[in-house]
Amino acid sequence: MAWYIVRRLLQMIPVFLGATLLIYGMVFLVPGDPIQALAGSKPLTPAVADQLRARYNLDKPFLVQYLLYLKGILTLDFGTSFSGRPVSEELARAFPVTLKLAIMAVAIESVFGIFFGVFAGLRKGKLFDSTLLVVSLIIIAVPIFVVGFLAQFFLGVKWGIAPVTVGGDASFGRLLVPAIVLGSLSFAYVLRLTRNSVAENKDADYVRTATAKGLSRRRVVTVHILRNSLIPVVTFVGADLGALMGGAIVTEGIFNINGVGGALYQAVTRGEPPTVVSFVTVLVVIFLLANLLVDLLYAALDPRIRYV
Amino acid sequence: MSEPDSTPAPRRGRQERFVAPPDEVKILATDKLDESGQPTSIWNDAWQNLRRNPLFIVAALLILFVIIVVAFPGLLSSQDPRYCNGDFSMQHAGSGHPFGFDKQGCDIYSRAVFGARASVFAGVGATALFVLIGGTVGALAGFYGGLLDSIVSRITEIVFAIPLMLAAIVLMQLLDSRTVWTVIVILAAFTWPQAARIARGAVIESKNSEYVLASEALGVSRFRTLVRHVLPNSIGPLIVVTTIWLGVFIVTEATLSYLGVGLPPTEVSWGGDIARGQRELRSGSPILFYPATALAITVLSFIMLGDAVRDALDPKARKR
Repeated sequence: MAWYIVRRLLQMIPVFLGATLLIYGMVFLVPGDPIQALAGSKPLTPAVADQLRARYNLDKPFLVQYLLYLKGILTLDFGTSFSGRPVSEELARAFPVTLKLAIMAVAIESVFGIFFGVFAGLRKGKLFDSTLLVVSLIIIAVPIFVVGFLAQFFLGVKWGIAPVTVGGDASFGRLLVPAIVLGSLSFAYVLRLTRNSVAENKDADYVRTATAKGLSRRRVVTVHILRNSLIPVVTFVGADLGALMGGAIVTEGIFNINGVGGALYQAVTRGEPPTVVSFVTVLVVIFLLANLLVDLLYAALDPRIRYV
Repeated sequence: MSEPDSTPAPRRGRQERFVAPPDEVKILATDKLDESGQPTSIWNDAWQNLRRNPLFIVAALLILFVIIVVAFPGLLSSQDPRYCNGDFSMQHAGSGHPFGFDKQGCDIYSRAVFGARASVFAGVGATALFVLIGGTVGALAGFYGGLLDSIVSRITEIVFAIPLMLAAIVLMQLLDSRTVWTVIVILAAFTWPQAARIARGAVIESKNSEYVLASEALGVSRFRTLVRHVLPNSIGPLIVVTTIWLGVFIVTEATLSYLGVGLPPTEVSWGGDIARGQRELRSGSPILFYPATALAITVLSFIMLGDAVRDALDPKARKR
């Protein structure tokens, strides 16, 4: 088990390097001079420009810049953004908010998705199942920005039962509606995955055996059917945590949440390589760690899975 | 198959036999093999199943409608979607303008009709590239294995780790001139590993089958075996994800246009119109509803098609 974790962590290194190099290369190719953008409309003497360029390592070749950046990350020094503040400060401010939002969204989508998915799967082909399938299709088909905007307009503006925007106060109550919006699409996927998985397993021989030996229906469903049906669902939910954090840009924009999405979007439009790459790097690490966690969870769900 | 009706009346009172005569046993009907027809392939079988699936019929009709709208928008609207007259700003529906006008005085109905082009074109183009690159790379990696497989797997992991929206926003921001083509290339560039993974898995599953062994025993070349035997038998899962991704691509294009980093504002697109309509919602005007509904119906039809095809290609799911 320990060996397995060590090996998985080692396997993450090339993925981590590749992903950061890719993003760094993309941001590096931004046309225009970031130093000029930093100075704004003020005229810049060549000497000052050169000095700024040297401070941000912009005078060195691309690969050297990347390696210097990598060295910084490994010593947990994420550099300074063009506004002069350390990037790590921005990371520390934005990530807890988005992490909270994404975890809430994942919790909502898993609880409701699995709950409804089990009932739909057990009643495959019945009215309840068909209704839920249609609902899930509609959720998938309507873009998240429409869902978010309608939720904000009706719940926030028109009926006033939820705060319109989140702003600086990212408390549980204020993040609830945005989290529901963010998790809605994945809710539909979790529902469908669980439903298909349960429908496939509910007629399995081991289920008949469990029923035949006199177990209660509840125990058969929760212990025998559900546990065996959860592996594809857990895989999806684990990968979804990382995806939601990166994909929260739209939701954060609509509800004015000061999270990763907003900070990242601004950094991208301003063309700030250190900030963009640092945010993406942390997102990639979270994604990889979440996937490792999922793989470790497999063993808890299915004791036949052994780590070697 | 109908059961024979001409069952003789059971003879009562006489028990000289305990086994009914062959012509009395109804089960005989199912034992008979109809050898006259052509053997059906999995595709034929799937088609027979699809034809009877109401989900498929609804999806196919909707897609047909979308195709007509994309190919001949003039059939549904004679208005020029780019003709905007400030005098008509926010005017309500009138004759010839069933949905009214937006802030700039453009006809909402004709913009909803003509907007289909950009969305569907971006979706279909990205999907085509997605399948072509991902399917080819995945199939080769799965079939030949070795170094190629290792490289493809590493690339897949790297691209998986980068969120699609994020990469798309960063790259779109880089480009000075954005067209439908740039959207297509960027969407495909960051998603093809998804197709590659599916194709790889399907090819690995069928490459150890007896018919592959037979093909090789007969001296058929490796590549020909892949193309003639392995691919046709492993393309099912790829077709299913393709229809689903088509919907995802259309939504992603709309999201990018909504964020202002997709198609240029001069292009008539649903995403851009939704972004504009959103501003008017605050003042109580529901014009956002029209492009959003058009988008949702289009995406819905492709996802429903994917659902129906998956059920048809998966005999296990069909079993009740």
